[in-house]
Amino acid sequence: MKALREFIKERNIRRRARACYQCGSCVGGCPVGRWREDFNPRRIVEMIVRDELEELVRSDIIWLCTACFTCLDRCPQKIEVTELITQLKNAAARIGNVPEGERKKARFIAEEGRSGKPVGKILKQRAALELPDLGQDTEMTELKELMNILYREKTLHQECSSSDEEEQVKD
Amino acid sequence: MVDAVRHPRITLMTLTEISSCSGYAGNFRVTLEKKPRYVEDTCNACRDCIAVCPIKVPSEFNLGLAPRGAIYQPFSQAVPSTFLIDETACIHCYKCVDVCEKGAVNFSQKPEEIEVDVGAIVLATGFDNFDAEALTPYGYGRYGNVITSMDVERLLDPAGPSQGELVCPSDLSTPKRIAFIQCAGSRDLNHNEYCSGYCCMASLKTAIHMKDKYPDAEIAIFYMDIRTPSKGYEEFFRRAREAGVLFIQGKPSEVAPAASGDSLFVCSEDRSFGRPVQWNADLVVLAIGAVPSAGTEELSSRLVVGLDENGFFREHHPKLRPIDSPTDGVFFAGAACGPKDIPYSVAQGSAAAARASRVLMNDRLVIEPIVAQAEPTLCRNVTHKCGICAKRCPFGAIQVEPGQPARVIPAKCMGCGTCVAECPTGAITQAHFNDLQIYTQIRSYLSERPEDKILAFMCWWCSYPGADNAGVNHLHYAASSRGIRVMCAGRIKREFVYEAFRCGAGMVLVSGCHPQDCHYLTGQHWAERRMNSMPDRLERLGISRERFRVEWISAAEGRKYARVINEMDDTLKELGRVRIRQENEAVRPGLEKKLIRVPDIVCAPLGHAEAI
Repeated sequence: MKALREFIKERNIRRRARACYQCGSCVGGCPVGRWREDFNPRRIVEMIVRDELEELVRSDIIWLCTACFTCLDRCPQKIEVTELITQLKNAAARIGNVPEGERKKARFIAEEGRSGKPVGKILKQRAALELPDLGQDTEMTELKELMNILYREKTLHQECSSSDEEEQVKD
Repeated sequence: MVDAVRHPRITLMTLTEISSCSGYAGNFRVTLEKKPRYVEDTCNACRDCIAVCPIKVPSEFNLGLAPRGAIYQPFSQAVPSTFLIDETACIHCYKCVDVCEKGAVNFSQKPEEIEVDVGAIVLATGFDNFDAEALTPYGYGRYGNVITSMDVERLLDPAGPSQGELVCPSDLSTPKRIAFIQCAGSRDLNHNEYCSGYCCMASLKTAIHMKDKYPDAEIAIFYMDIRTPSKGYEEFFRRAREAGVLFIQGKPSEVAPAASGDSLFVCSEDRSFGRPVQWNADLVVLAIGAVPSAGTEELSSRLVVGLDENGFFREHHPKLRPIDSPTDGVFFAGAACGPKDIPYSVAQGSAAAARASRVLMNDRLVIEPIVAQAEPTLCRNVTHKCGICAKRCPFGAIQVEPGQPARVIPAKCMGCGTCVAECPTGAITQAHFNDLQIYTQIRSYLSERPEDKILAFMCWWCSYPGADNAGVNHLHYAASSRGIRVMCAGRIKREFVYEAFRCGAGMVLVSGCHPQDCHYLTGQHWAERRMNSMPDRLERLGISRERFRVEWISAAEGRKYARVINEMDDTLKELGRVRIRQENEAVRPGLEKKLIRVPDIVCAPLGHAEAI
């Protein structure tokens, strides 16, 4: 929470979010909102303006954002909605509010270097295109090194590797 | 328009542009370029030529929804009714020449240069429509059935391309579901930040008109706010609601085509329910706003009239002088200086005519006797490339030509004195506010016990009335302040501050209007630029920086003026008379050195000051 507040202060996010006149063009273009009416970027921005961050960070709504950036593209006030939600996700991860699917994805990236395991049809297509066998083409040591440099802070894949650590993070 | 062209005292010059303008209020000389029409005034608009012209190009008046020939009349009520030939479209087949019974077609016409002497100029250059193609997610130009509010005006005009029938441009069918998208390109940082103001009413009007004509049509207006602040407008909004127009609050994110056919989906949020909506529409109307008309920038440089941040003409004062340009004798009417609706444009047109007649009705132009005067023998521009004065003047009142001394046009000068303060050789003086007068005031205020005094330089329009305001409100402030009034903060030279300290002043305050409130447009800006470095300069000389202060105080801020003076008085007492006197004694030689460049007047012996 503290880091989030600092980030918000540093980047002047609340001031910029205050420029939002609640037109809803982010909602109209949101590919997620079309299927999940409870995901409403306009409402998230308004909650940031009204300082209801705690509620947002503890909710699972923010994890529905696919970070497609359509909202930023359409926003007439140039508010970085996706960026705001990403920061909320970071804050949520720090208090351990991460859905199981995201944990799995993070673990997979840490171990295999990709977010999902190709199966069936995709493998066949790869074979037809004479692409190299998966599992051989990713140099994991280098990737891990890079990840360690990039994410010195507690990151999702580390948190998820042991449950004790998660407890620590909560503190 | 016909009345205007028939009026014996109105000369209408169409196809004519201003190429240059010189002079001043009451005495403008305007050079005009009259472009060839290629049709003489004998034309009786019989339309025979239109029938034979083989060219078809999109008609500008019908926004490309109908064609016109290379010889054409822009629209049937056009004034004058004489036809004209579009040179870029014409293939010179001369069929029109053969068919014209009056022999009016004349291809030998050349552009003409005309010079006219006028007393006043009214700029009524109007506005252009926002280019809706810039709104990529709405697909104007990509989807045939996305049109603009101007297109729909043409379609609903009984004399328009569809004889007043509302049709979908893709297949000419009658639309059953029509969506309006408000604020298309307006109130949007990616396009135009401003609100054009008239689009809400225009869409309401069009929607009611459609409902009258096609009662079964379903009409939805997607809006952020409906703005109806003028007389009778809110009632009109109610009428639209009662007529069954659906109002959906939400700015559409995009317009998407249906899987098949020409119909479209407007993707928006429906804020009443806080959920996304995909509204199926046959026709989508984008309510586009206004942008400055093409050529505004060019015209502004020819007439020395500035532009605002959106590219419209800038009025002299947004509240108090909304009709006047900064150049005396040049006025605005209508949307030239910002989007306006019809009643407001008409009101402004009448006001501009009245303002112009005030110039024309007088034999003599009465101006304030505070204008700047340039002394040719001292002007640096004769030997060097200078022209600083002309660059500082927001009214274009100073003419500088290479090798020639600067020349002030008194009728254009408003008397701010910024040029006087900025002139590197002291060649320019301002009548009634000349350097000698101001230096004398400084010296006489500081003739006795100068180290106990706060010398305040104030502008005429904001900070002096601010001090006055403190007085009439009976606010207490230290009796140690002495005010020197100049027309504008732009007049305050650095040398005035130096002279004040040389005379032993305790504190010096420079005050003026708030930024953007300056009555001379840019005077405050130049004053601020000049004074920003002052604390450092004084400190280098040996004067404590807290002894100099710059404050922008408006006419209403009597309380602020009193507070500033009291704060300064506290500082004055804190520093103490002894220290101030010591500082002043120490810096006097340095200041005298700085002031030696000012001829004659400054280093005169200090009168009473020396006796202390």
